[in-house]
Amino acid sequence: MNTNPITSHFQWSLLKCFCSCVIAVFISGCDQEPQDSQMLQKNVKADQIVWSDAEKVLLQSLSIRNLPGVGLDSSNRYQLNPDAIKLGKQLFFDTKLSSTGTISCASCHQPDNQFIDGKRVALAVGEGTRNTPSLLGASHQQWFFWDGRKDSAWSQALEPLENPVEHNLTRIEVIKKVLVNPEYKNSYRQIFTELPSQQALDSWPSAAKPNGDLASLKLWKSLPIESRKEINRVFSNIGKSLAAYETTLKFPVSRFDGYLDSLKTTELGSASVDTPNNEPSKHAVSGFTDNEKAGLQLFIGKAACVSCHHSPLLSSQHFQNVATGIPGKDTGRAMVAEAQRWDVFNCLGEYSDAPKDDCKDLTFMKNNRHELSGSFKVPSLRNVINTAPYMHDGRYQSLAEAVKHYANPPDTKLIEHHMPMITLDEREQKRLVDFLKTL
Amino acid sequence: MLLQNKLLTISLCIFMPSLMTACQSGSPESTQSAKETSEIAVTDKVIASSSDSVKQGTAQAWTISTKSKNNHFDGILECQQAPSVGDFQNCQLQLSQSENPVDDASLAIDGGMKAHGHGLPTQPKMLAVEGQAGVYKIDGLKFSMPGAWTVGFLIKANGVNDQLIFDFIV
Repeated sequence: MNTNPITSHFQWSLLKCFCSCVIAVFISGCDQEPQDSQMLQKNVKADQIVWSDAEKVLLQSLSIRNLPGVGLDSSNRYQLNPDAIKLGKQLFFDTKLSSTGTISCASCHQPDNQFIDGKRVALAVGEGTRNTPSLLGASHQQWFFWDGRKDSAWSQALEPLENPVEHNLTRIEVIKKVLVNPEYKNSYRQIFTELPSQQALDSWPSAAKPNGDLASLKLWKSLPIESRKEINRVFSNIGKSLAAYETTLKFPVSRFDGYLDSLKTTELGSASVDTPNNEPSKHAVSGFTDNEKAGLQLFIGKAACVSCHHSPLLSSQHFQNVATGIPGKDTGRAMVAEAQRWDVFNCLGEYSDAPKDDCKDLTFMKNNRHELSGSFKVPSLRNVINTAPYMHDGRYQSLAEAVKHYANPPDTKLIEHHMPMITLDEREQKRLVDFLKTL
Repeated sequence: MLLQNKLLTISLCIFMPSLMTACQSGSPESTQSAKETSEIAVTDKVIASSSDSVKQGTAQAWTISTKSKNNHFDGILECQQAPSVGDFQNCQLQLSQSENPVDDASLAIDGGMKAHGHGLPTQPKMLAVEGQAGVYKIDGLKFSMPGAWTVGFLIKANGVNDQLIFDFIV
C-alpha cells in the first residue's frame, strides 16, 4: 500500500477524475487537485462548476482580449498602408482577375458568409481538393493553407491566382489585368512608386509562368532574369495589397469572450472590463448554460482540446495528424514542407521585406516528410459554428460529426495519429458541441 | 515511489492540461531520466556568440540535469525561463565529462511528446557558444502544446557516442 501522501494525493485525483467521467457527473475538482476532504465528497452539477485558480488563468489566456488587433507581418511593409488596403479590397472583389471573368477572391471567401463558401471543397474555375478556410483573423496566422505551404498572407494570396482550378491565370496575366485598369494603375504607382514600363508589359508573354506546364515554363525561362524578377516584384506587390485588405478582417468577439469578461469582472468585483481588442462584447453579462460550461470543462480538461486549440487564436499554429490524411492522395504537410524552403515568395526570399531574424519559423521549420505525413494545420476554432463544413477536405458537415471524430480515436497501432486517447460518451460530445458553438 | 509520483503527475498533466501551472511548478530535476530515443540525426555545429547564450543566475532561470545513457557525459539543460508553449525557447546545453567541459562536440537534437506520438514542431540547431567551454546554444526550439515533452541530444565527442535524454513538463 502506498503511504506516500503526495502519491496518494495524485492517485486520488486521477481516480476521482476517472469516476466523474464514467458516470458523467461533473465534479468541480476534476481538473484540479483536491484541497480538502470536503471537496472529495462533492457531487456537483454542471451549474455549480467552480473554476480553480489555474483554470481561471488558462481560461483568460484564451480570451480575444489578449489578441492584438492586428498580427503584424514584417515581410509586408504595406500591410497597414491605407492605399494598399483600398487597392487590395478592390482586387479582392474583382472577377476580371480570373480566366473566366467570373471568379474573384470573394467567390470563395464570401464576406456575407464569414469569408468561406460553405462548400465541402472550393469550387472556382474548377473544383479544388481542400475546404475553403475563413479569412477572419488572417493576419494572426503563422502558416497559410491547410498544409501551411505559405508563410505570409501576401504569399498565400498569389497562389490561387495561378491555380488552374481557382483563378487560372498566369502572374503576367494578373499584372496586365491590374495595370490595364487606370484606377488600379494609379493606386499601384502611388503605393509602390515604380511601375513596369508599357514596353516591358507588352513584351512579357502572357502564357509564361514558372509553375505551369512545360510550354509555359519554357516561355518563363526565355525571359531575362531581370524581367522575371520585375514580374515577381509586381506580382508580390499585388499579393501585399490583397494581404493588406485581409489584415482588416477580424474575428468577432464571441459569447465565449463575453463569458470570460464576466468571469474577470466577477473576479475584480467591478462592472467594467478592459477591452483593448475589437468591439466591446455584446455578451459581457450573459452567462453560460450548464451544458456550455460543462463543455468548456471538457475542452480544457478530459477532452484535451486545449492541447492544440490554445491561445486567443484557439490554435497552436502548428501541424498535427488527426487521422484525416489519405495515403497516396493527400498527406498534407508532408507534401509541401521541403519545397517551402525554396519558395521565392517566402519570408527569406528577395520579395519579402522582413529582416532574416523575423523568419525564424521558416528557418527552423520541420520538413521531415515521414514525420509530417498526414499532418495538417491546427485551425482556429474561433467562429467555428459558422464555418462548416470541417476538416481539410470538408468531410464533416456538422460540429457533432467533427467532435465524434475525436471522441473515440483509433488505436495508434492501426493508424498513426496525434490525438489524445480519450473516450467521450454522447452526452459529453453534446456538451462539447454546445460549448464550441459559443466560440 | 518517486517514479510512481512522476508518472501520476505526467498523467494528470496530459489528461488535464489545465493543471499545467501546477505541473510546471514541480521540480524539473524530479522528472529526469535516461531513456531510449530515436530519430536523432547528427548536424553540423555552428558558432554562436556568447551574448546569445542563456544568462545564468537570473530569477526565472530553469535547469534540469541528467547523465547520458552510457554515463559518458553529464548534461545540464538550462533555459532563461521555464519552458513554455508557443514562443522560441532561449535554452542551452552544458556538457561535461568527468567534470570537465566538453568542447568540439558534434551534437544533434530531437524530441517530442511520447503521449501524443509526435516530435518537436521545429528543427532546432545546436551552436557552440564562443568563450564558454562546454556550452551549446539551442536555436529554434519550440513547444506546441502543454504536457510531457522529451528533448534528446546525440553526442559525439572525445571518441565516444552517447545520448542525453531530458523529460519534463511544459
